[in-house]
Order: sequence, then C-alpha cells, then structure tokens
Amino acid sequence: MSKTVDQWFMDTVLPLEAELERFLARHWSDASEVRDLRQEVYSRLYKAAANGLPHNTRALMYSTARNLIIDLVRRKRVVSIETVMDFESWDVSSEEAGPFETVSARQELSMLRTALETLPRRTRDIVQMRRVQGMSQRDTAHALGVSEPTVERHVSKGVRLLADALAKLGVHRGAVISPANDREGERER
Amino acid sequence: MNAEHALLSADDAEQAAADWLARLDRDGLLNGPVDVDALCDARHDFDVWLNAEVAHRVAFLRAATAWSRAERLAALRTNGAIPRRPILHRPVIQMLAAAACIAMAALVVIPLGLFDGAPGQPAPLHYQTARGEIKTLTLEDGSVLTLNTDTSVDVIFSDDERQVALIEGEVFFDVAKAPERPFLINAGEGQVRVLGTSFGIERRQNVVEVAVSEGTVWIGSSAHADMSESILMPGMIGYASVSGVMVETSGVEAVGQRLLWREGRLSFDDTPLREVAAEFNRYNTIQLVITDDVTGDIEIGGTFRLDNVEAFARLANQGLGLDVSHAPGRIELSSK
Repeated sequence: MSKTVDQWFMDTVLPLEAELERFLARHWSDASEVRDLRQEVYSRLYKAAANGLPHNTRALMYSTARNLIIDLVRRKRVVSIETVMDFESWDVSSEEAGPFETVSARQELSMLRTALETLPRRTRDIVQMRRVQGMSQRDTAHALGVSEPTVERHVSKGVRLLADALAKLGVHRGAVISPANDREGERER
Repeated sequence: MNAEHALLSADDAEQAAADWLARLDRDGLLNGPVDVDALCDARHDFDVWLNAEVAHRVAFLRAATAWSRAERLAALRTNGAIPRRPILHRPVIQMLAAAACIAMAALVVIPLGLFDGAPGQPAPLHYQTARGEIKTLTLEDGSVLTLNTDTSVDVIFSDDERQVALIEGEVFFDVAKAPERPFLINAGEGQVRVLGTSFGIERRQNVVEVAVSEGTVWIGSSAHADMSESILMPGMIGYASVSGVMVETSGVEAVGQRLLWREGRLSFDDTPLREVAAEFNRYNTIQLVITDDVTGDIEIGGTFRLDNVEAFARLANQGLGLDVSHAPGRIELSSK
C-alpha cells in the first residue's frame, strides 16, 4: 500500500509544489513559514491518501491548504486577517487549473540542466560526476582528491538545492504543468 | 503570526532527508527507481527515521524524486560537457558597490529653497491623485513615479537637475541613473538627493518618511540643513522632521512590506488596530472608526487588499469577535 501512495505522491503531488507555494504565500503573510506550511500540507495529504487515493489531487491539495490555514488562524489570538477575510472568497474549485501541458523529454532535460546550473560550482561538479558520469561517491572523492564525507556532504546539499530548483521550475518528469493562467493572482490585482 | 508551535520545521525534515539520501547513495542503494520499502528493508535505522513522522517520509520522497530525475542528466554525457553560464555574482556586486561610491561622492549640501523659482526655470508640471487612486507616471528621463492615494507633486526638470516637490502624500520613486543630473526631492521637513535608485517617500503631518529598496539615498532635515542628515542604504527607513533625521534599519523585507501599497495591498505585523484603521482610512471614503482604547490596542498582522474595507470589517467581526456597526460613510468597531 505505502508503495502506491509513495508513487502517487511523487507523480501527482510533487508536480504541484510551485503552485501550492504560490497559494500559501498569497494567503499567509509570513513568507518564511511558507515552506513549513507546504510541508504540513504534504503530510496531511499523505495521511489522507493512505486511506484511499483521491480522485482529484489538486482539489484535495487546495482544500487541505485552506483548512490548515484556518486551523492555524483559529489557534492564534493574533489573527492573520487576510486569511480569514478570504474564507468567503475562497472557492477551491476555482483553483483548478485549465489546460495542461505535458513536458517533453527534451524540455525536461533542459530544465534539469538549468536547475543544475544554479548549484554552487563544487556541489555541481560532484552532482554531475555522480549523476551524469555515473561515478560512485568513492570514485568521485578520488577523482577530486577530497574525502568521501566531503562528497557525501555535497550530495546532500546538491539534492536539496536541486529539489528546490526543480520545484521552482514547476515541473516534474512525465508530469503536467499548468500554463500561466493564474486566476487568483489576477483577481487580486 | 508564527506557527512554530503547530508546525514541524520543513528545513529540519528536508535537511535530514537529504542527509539520508546522501548516505544511502554512498552505500550504492539509490540506483534505479525510488523504492522506499526496499530501502527500509536494507537499512533498519533508515526505516526507524522514515516512519517516525509522515513529514520525514514526504521530505524523503521529495529529495529522492529530485535525485532520481537528475539521473536523466546522464543523457547529456554524449553531448560533452554541460555548458556553464558565466558566474555573474561578483561583477554585479562590484558594479553595485561602484554605484554606491558614486552616490556617496556626490553628496553635497542641498540648496535650501529649491523651488523658489530661479529665473529661466521651466514651469513645474503638476500631478495628483484622488483618495484611493494609485497612479504611475514615467518622466522624460525614464524615472518612474508611483503616486499613492491623495498625493500631489510638482516636477521641474532642467539640464543639470531633476527636481520633484512632494506637496502631500506618498510616492515611490524609481529614479533613472544620470550621475551628471542629480535628482532632488523636496518634501517640506525632509529633503532627499539621489542619483539612481528606488525608494518610497511619504510626507505626513510633521514627518517625512523615506524607505529605501535599492541604491543609496541622502536624506536631510530642512530645519537642520547643516547638521542633520543621513545616508540610507537598502532596508533602511529614514524619518526627517523639524527635530532632525532618525534612521531605522528595518531590513529589505520590511521595506518591501512598507511599499506593498503599489500592488494595492497593505501589510501589518503586530500593528495596533487603531493604526491599521488609519492606514485603511487613507484609501477609502468609508472610514473605519475605533470606538474604544481596548479595541484600538488589539494587535493584528496580515496582508490585506487596501480597497476592501467592508471585508476587513467582516473579518474583524468573525476573526476577532469585534462588534461592527455600519453608519453612513463609516464603520465602527468596538469590543463586545
């Protein structure tokens, strides 16, 4: 079961990350907490899906995000007013995106390359040797004349930066991206 | 506004997930598609960590997905090395530093009585906005002025100087660089001189407030032209009044919040309701009235649309439990 849920999470939830973070940033005034909120939404989604995979992941994601914000607001005396204010106008169904576009293998590759280029040089070299050249961490360490723990540290750093960069680019493999028809954003302008 | 007591830190979970990934990768366990169950079977300590919190699992899945996608980069191997972009950071920083030096070097005492109408000076161009109106103008030098609600300015450009008089209200300046042609702003109690930069300036009753988002700005008090002045860097807010200039280092983020009105929004952080009401009242004909001190002292935070005072009042009712009563042209808020 957990394998199915893991797969659903990777294929269906993760591609929505940029969209989810935009939504949270719009409705939560403290930008530094958006990642924590996103993480909590992920956990709640995962727990919900463990009891049965949802039919519409995007709709579930938005209502989960909304409920999380409502929970947090209720728990606090000092209210993030905009969030409460927007309860009335939050029509979760309106968040459903329009036409989707599948990312081609070539686009995917060029996005990966862009993400890779955002890494600091040392980290990028090591990620490149591991993933592009297919060298082991040990061989990478030998080739660069650094210790294995150093390589391991760069891999850890590299994967974090890559995950963020890829999320920012808004697409995951074989997944869909929504074009820039961000209705919510327009409404606010 | 913080939610620490309710939320796990994403940073902690993501760092731990990345560390686990690097460790599993070191041991050669991460080749091929992500199979968390198999990893748990292979490493008991990983199993324990992963299943301690759902947050751990989702963070690991996120990292493992990125790592596994990166494997596709191997397709580039036949195409030779990955082209590198030139590293831009250093030159940019140097350029900015150079610009700052120019700005500093150009600091001279501002002539008082800027608008006393030197002979042969062109007539000022006048611009203004009504209550609730926000307007953007592009001047002939390419500088862009965003006028906030109830604002009035005069613009006089000559060959060697660009002058703006802020008669009332608030303006965000995005000043085009032209070192040979300084940009001067006269706002009564405060005067500002810049070469090319972005900042907001508001003239209130007795004080002029300057919030800098980019570049370097000289601010001086007109009452103490020779002794009271300051250089403002990004993230600083300067206040000029008859008693001099005061500078607050608020950070670039706070300055950004302070300037959110340009997007039609207001942002507050633990701000007393009476100040929030005063801010809203600048933009709306319907005035928010706080009837008692207890209500006025309630601190709120958040970001709001500045033109939606009705919704704000509804929220004060639902979210804060305040009494809201409507009268013509005003909405009264009071504690029950």
